[in-house]
Amino acid sequence: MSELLMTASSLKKYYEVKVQSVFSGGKSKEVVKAVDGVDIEIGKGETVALVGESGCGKSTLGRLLINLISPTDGDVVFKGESIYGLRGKHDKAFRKDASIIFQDPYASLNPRMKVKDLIGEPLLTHGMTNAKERYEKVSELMKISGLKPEYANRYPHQFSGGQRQRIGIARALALNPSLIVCDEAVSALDVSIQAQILNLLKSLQKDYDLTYLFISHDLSVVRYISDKVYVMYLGKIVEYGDPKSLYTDPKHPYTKFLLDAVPIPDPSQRNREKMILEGDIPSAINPPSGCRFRTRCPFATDKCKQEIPEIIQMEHRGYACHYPL
Amino acid sequence: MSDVLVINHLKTYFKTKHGMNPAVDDISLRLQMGKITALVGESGSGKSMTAMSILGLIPKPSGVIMPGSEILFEGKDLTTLKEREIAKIRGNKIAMIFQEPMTSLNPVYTIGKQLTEPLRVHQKLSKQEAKKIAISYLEKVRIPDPEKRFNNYPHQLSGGLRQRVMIAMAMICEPKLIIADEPTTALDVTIQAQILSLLCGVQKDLDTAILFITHDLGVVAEISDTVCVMYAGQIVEQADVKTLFDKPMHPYTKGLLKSLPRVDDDVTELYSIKGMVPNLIHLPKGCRFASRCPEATAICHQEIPPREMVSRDHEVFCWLPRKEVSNV
Repeated sequence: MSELLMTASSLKKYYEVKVQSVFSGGKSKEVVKAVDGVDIEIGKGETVALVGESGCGKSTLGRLLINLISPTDGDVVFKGESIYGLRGKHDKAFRKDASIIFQDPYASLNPRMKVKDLIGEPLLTHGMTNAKERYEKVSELMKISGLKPEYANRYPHQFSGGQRQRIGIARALALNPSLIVCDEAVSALDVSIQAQILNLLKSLQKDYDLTYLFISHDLSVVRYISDKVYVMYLGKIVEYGDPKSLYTDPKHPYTKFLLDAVPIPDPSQRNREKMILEGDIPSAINPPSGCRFRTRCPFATDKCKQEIPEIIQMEHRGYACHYPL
Repeated sequence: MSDVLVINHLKTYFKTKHGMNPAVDDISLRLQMGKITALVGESGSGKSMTAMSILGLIPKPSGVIMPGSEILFEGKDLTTLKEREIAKIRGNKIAMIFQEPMTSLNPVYTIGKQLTEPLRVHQKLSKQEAKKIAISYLEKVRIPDPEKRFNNYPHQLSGGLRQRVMIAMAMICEPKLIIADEPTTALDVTIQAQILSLLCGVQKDLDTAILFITHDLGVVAEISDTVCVMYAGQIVEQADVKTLFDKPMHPYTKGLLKSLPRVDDDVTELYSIKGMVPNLIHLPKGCRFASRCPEATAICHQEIPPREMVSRDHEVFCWLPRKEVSNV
């Protein structure tokens, strides 16, 4: 295993929500446990994927890891230092070293800014005040990301979805970060464009020695791009491992259900044996006791109701289940 | 096999201030009883507009169905029907399921009220009769506690349950044809798997035809019988599902299949189709895919390709099959 770049330990993020009854006006406080005790290790130069269904807490976790939001509890160590204790120029240095690409290329670019200013903004914030120098760097970044530098004076609406995502990538690369969080970075794109962007991300990783945290709900994409996969369910990691063993031999029933649910573009596999998961993901306000997956798990017993399963470590992988497959 | 709906040379154009946009440009296809036909393509390829044309829901006055287009259903040409006549068919003999169950259900009416509406309007049933049928359909789509759900409002249901309600609503008048426009795109994979298996089940029970619109080739492979691949307003390849995935002929179909990451296999390098879809208002001469096509030759940039039947039920809109013949 390569050198560790980032370690998160017992990371928690709780949100308090005030619920007011429409009729009685009575107020009550509830706690949403969006991320509830997560440990993650990200090696230098790796692509680590975080997969799960909507509402499982993967985006919240991504934001915690680059200090866009502060945790309720737990810590994240990046290059040997806790990121939450950083102040002043140390904090600024961290924000230079860790950036993010968002899902929606329509919403994440300010429509009133030209591309050169969008990509140039992080450079300006971090002290590159010479406009000429900055635009040279912007041109270079545009070239790297597969955009024509002649388009620097255009506005985001003049680009297609795929090109906009390239602008987002150029902006994320601007400060030579070592870590980039890709939050559903290809989910909004058509397949032919998605393949272009995935390949671009891969080649940039090689050229610039980047580490990715790749957040996605798409298990096929994750298998293609990642070196290590964490599967999340209701704020907790249920299983992790290298993609090959995780995909061919899942230990946690949820992982198995998730994999079985993915449609395979091959009609001859239509009648393959697959397990279909019943029911919906429960609310994170009152998650089930014990194992959070037990309400939907066909193998659950009383033990799953009473005891929270701890992560069982194996070589290169781990899972949190009382009755692994 | 009997045809439920036949589309001949459908052209749906939109007037814009920059010129005519041929969103659907000369499409012909047949939907057969008891079969699922997938219409697959990327955003802007015209698949949803094909569905809207069938249902007479093209936004007017900017959208126009051009003369020469035919949509034949039970001996009538839907393109010539008056709004009142088509309203009798819509939701009754041709039903639809949309992508976003949140926005296609009315938030201020109960599930029950919306479910019984087609029965009350089309079949003139009494409230009590309609309620009985509605609850039996809620059971059919496996909604737990249907009596209680009948009185729920849409916001009280999860996304998966809402889509089940949409399916029940589509089935309730026992339509000849269901048009499903990206019905599982907004759902998580595990919920998508539930909904797809449900949809296949009800389709077998009712023996209806389904036009299934999607951008996801995985879903196509899982459920459809025949497939039409759309690109820039045209159908570029049409075949039964096995042929399309085993022996794709059109370079666009081939490219799409090669650019899919796989959950069941390790892929080291994804193929990517270069460039992007041409602007429909300023279309190139010749084949619309030529500028992105790795196999294009001079003729592809000059002349519109022929519709070639390469085998029974396998049609390709491409110059390649002809070139291969002349090479032999």
